[in-house]
Amino acid sequence: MTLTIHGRPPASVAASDLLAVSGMSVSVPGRGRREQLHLLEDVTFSVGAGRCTAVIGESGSGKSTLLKGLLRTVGKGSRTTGRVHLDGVEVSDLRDREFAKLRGSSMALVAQNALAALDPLFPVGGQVAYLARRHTGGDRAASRETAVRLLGKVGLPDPERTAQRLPHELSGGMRQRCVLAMALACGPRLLLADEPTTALDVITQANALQLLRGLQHELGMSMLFVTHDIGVAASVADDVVVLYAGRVVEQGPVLDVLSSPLHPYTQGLIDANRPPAPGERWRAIGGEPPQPGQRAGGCAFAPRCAEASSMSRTQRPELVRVGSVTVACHARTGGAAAPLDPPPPGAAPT
Amino acid sequence: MTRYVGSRLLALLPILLGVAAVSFSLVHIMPGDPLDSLMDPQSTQAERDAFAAALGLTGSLPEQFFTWLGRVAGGDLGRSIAFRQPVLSMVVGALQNTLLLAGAAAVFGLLVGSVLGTLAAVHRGRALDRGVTGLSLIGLSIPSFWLGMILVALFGVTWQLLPVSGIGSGSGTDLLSHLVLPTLAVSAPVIGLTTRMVRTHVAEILEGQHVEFLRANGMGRARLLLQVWRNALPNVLTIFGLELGNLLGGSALVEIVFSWPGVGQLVYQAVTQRDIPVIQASLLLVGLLYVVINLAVDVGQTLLDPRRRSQVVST
Repeated sequence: MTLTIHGRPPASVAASDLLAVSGMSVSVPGRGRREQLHLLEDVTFSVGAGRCTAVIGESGSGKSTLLKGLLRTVGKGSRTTGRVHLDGVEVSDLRDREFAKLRGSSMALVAQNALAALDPLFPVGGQVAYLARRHTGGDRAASRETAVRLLGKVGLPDPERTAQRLPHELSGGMRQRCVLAMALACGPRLLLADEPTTALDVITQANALQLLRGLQHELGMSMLFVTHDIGVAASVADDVVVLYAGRVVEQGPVLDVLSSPLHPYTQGLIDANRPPAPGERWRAIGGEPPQPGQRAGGCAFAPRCAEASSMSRTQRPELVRVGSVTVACHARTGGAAAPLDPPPPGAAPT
Repeated sequence: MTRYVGSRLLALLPILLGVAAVSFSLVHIMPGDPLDSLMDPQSTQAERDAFAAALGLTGSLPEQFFTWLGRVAGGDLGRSIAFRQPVLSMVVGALQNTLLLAGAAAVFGLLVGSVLGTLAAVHRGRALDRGVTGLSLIGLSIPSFWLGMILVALFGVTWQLLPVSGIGSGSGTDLLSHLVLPTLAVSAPVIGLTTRMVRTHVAEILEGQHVEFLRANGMGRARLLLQVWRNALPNVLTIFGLELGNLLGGSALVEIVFSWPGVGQLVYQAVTQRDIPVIQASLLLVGLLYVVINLAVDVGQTLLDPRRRSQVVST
């Protein structure tokens, strides 16, 4: 059975969702006067309570912009629209001053580049302690204890001594753990992870992922995990959102999407991540993703897609539910134009 | 740390020797025989020889240099030919005045430049940023001595608000009131340069992932700016040292405009009068001070940046 939903589903939010984003668009000023570059368009997805959603896509697909949009840190002159529900509360209407209070305490960021994220001039313990004090109050001694406890919790050996050390004295894996401890210092409900393991070697990466997953369960947090690595997404996430050129092309439970991908782009990503058999070449997706501002009408992936039809080039495919996943592809949804009739009553939300 | 400073001091010795050689030989590169301009044209050859011997102008140039160096090492910089008094006290006195002016201008310029630069960096890309950057370019391009003359004309002649000449009694509020105008004149380019450098450094840190990460995790604006400043501090210290060093010699024209009894004024007079010992001693001491300031900046930077500190300790 094929159920359809519209690009902008009703703003009703399932009670089990910690984060529900609907119709989020982000644009930044372009070079020309009044020109706006659309980095994200009409992105709708959710993160269940206690669950992990991975966002995958190539560089430039809008993954990091999504996190910045959620945190309202995109930058000057940018425009963010759409609805965001966090923990049952609509936060998209909050004034900046009110919204700032959510940063750290409701959602915290785990940065991609730990060396760049930490202050090189101060011991890591103090940096964790400051954020802890800011969010939970308490005196210096208490926050210092909290910092040491958190450093231990993220698996750093001898946290007492590690707290005294400077970022450049630690290894890459240890630094990443410090960054994680800083994010945890705020006691967030939602962890936003921006490719937190990309800079690490494979073994350290596996340990870090295990740690993240363990802490997520232990502390009852939800996690939005941005990565370009399908393998990482498969090992850490419950659900997956595939972004291409600022739009969601496919989403659903991670097993369903990765074992039987519907969208040709998802298939391409999986092929490109799979080591080739001896004598074969890596199967990269030919071509480049379009730059923001140069995205033509129709399916943004059409120029690189072997299955593109004439309709793909002229008409933008809408997200359509197929079984447990939703996908935006004319070739997969029978080539029919996006249905215009409203969804039947009681249709499952995305 | 002590060992580090010690080794840096030791490394200064060859540099100081170079400074001494240059200060000594510059005078000898100047065209003309110093004796011709110093002595009565009617004086006899015997008188000339005696005078040359008194000045240490006999023997080959290297010989003269080492004799001079020996005396200098013993603290004897000779006597001024024009003023007939020990050079050392003259130059040290003038150097104090110059340091006062240069220090005041560097501190004032650094404070104003830091505030303007930080403002511009925070509002980068907006009207305030463009205005401040434009002003800093004007500050950089104004010749200090010209600005000095304008200040003299306005504050001294038209409005008669502030004294425009000398250092007054040399202490207290009198000295301060004499210090205002020359400081303003000298600090214009310092403000310009500091503004631009601070703007660049602060903007770079503000756009870095460190700030983005802290902001995303709820760090407040004021505290964030404080931390940005702390990170920019080693660079600001470098600018301060460079400016202070430059001003030691660079404020000479302004000293002349305001009759500020500094080392620039002294050297200017000494050159016109061919007062060789004064020229040599001034060059030597200014060079020495310059080198010491640079060393202090290096040490200060090491103290401010734990990454450099640990390098120093491990080597």
